[in-house]
Amino acid sequence: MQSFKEALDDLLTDLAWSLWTELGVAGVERRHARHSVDPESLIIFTADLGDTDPRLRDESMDWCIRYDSFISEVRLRNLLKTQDEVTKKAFGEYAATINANGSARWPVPSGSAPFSFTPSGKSVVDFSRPAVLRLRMRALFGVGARAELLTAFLGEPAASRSASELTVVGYAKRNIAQVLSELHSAGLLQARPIQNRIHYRLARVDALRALAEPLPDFFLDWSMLLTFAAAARHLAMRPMDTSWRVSAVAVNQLLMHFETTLASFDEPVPKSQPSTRDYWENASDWILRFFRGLSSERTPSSARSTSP
Amino acid sequence: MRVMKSIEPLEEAIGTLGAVLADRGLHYELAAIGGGSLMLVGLIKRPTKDVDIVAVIHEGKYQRADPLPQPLVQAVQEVAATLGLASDWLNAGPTDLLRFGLPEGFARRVEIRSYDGLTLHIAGRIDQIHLKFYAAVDQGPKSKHYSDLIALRPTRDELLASARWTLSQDSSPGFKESLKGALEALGVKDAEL
Repeated sequence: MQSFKEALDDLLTDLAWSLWTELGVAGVERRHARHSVDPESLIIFTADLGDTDPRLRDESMDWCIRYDSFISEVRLRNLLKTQDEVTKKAFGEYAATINANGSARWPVPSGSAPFSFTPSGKSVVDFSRPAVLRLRMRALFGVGARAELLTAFLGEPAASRSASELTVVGYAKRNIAQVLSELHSAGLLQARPIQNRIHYRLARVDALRALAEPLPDFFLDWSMLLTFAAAARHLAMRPMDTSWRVSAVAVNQLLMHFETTLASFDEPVPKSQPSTRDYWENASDWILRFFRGLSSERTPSSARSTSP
Repeated sequence: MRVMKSIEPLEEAIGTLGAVLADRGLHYELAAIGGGSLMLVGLIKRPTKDVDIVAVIHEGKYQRADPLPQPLVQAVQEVAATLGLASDWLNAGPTDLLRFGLPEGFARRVEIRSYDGLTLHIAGRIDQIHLKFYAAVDQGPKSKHYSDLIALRPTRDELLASARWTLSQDSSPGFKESLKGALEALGVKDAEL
């Protein structure tokens, strides 16, 4: 029987393979054709998976070296700030290897060394896929906050949001505020002051859609979901002699930390229980169910989309 | 919020707390009194929702438990969230008792229970009688403390010793009258205090 860690790693590598294959990595199964894939979040997560699947790691690095010009170093840096030390360290080695094999200058923490790697040269992006919307937007508007913000607005065209709320796209608030103001000047966004904040919404939805098509159906917050996935992995990697009591408390804290992200999915997170053993079993089963749903064709969001 | 009706949930909560503390490289020694601790040593069976800490023990010395150390509070809250308990299920509520002193010899009579990163010094029976008697006088004959006290089956001498110690905590005339009333209700007539 598989351990929790083994089962989780299987699901998460499946998920990563499917997302990478949508982006053009030489993979077999694509199950996220209707999702907007987030490259930087996926890169950080794949670095965290590390040696769990060396082929996945190598093929993803092949893609990164070829399509580095579509990747935002600023966004990588900002997204890394919310990761734990385990992920930061893993990313350092991954980024050092990318930098050593191409022209990328990704952020590398001191002490990170590249590992031996030969690109396969197999990666090819099909820019006509809905899942690569972010890459198309970057091709149209340049790699930066502008493309990310417009992608976020396409995800929720009716939503009205402030610069603060939009920092979730992975750029600094000042940068976002400036771009929002410029897009408003260009007539692409409507602006409305609410209390002491300016809220923006898309003014020319059809025009932007026409440029960006084909659009995916789902705009999940992959940044949060893959951060949750990495945190769940790290929990599963705890020493085998860790008691289920400690594991139960740790998994409860994990689920509470990501409560807001998980609340947009239909399956409610497990409630507290009088027995830590029961709680651990329910919560670990729930996590496996959650990622089974996320890595399969069936999206656990039950047709609800979130942005960005 | 859940009330612990038997010893298992209480043991589960304390055992989990001890395991979490140990996992974080922490260790605390605490002196426990009250309903939860009575349940732990099998002296009462009433439902309870908390563990009352009278002191943090540091290098063998009893120190005020209020405020409890922050890493301990954090772990208590995390265990509470997992098991569905009140966030202050382990609390320093009775630590003011240290101001006038615990019954003489309290530390020698404790029953020590170890739970990985947590060592509980559970008040001995005679000390629990002292403390329950004080609480019963303070909060009246309908309080849970009164029924806990009866469950401890104190003898006349134990009640008298408790009454004398209780007067060291509060010697006001009104309190002394309440105390005599409590003694009489417990079957101790014409007490010489």
